[in-house]
Amino acid sequence: MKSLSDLQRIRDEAKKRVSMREGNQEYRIVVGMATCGIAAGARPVLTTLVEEAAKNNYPVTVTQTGCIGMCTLEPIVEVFGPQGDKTTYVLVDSKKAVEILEEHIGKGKVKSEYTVGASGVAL
Amino acid sequence: MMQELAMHILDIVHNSIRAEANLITVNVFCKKSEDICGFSVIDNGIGMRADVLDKVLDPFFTTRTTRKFGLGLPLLKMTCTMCDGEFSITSSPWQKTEVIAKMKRSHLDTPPWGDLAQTWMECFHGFPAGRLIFNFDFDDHKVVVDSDEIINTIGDRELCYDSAVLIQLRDYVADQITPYLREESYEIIERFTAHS
Repeated sequence: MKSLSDLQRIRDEAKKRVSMREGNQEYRIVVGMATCGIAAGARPVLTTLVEEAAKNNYPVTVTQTGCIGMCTLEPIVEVFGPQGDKTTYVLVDSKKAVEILEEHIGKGKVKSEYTVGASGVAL
Repeated sequence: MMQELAMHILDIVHNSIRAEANLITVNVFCKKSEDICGFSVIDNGIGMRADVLDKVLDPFFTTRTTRKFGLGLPLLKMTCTMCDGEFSITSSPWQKTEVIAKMKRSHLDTPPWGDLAQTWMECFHGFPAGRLIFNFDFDDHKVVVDSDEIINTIGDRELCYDSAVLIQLRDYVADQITPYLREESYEIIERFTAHS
């Protein structure tokens, strides 16, 4: 894609895809992107989440936040379910991010071995 | 740590987002003739009073409550100092807060640019509430990426933050700046070969 006018072409296609998802219950994924997150490798995690969500058209919105407060456990990915339930995944990398999308968003099953509870850190 | 300038840029832009700015301008520059490269981030957010400004470069100072120190600005200053550059930060609350980071372009420790298109996408994605202007000024190669222009072209603000559209936008920005960056990376390789 070389120019802005090319962007208009992708618009209709994107609209169609988004409307296909409507009615599905939306998940929200939040990635910590403060200094601690960036230094620990949150950028490739965010990229993977966005790319994989696009590829598979998962019913999910990926957003960013600042420091979540557990810097040693970064990169941290929080998944908010349609009912507002929250799951916190810690020490995430690209490979784990793909698994989280497949299991949690794709099949609705929490990937419990990657959660903060399973990390053995006392909070 | 921050191995790339792209990571520093993202980090500093996050400060502006947290400062409740609604306009963030990022200037990425490289001037071969003056042997400098670097970037500046300007926002119209809450800013800092003079007494706070004095303390932001202290790693053990932060205004946030989630942890006890802030390393973003001190790390960037360290990179600038290490690379024979200059670092400055000035602030008029709610008007203009500006961070300028310059490095000597030919210094061996000057970090590579990294993935600037990716950084653009991350800044755009992390700042849905405001206007983000990226000015890439690589010698005679100038590119302006204005979020308002992109949102107007797409015609739907929300759609811009859809994952698939974000990827396309990132690739669009990459197409604009890659010709220059490719040239730049050849030069870096030559520079290292000359030193080894």
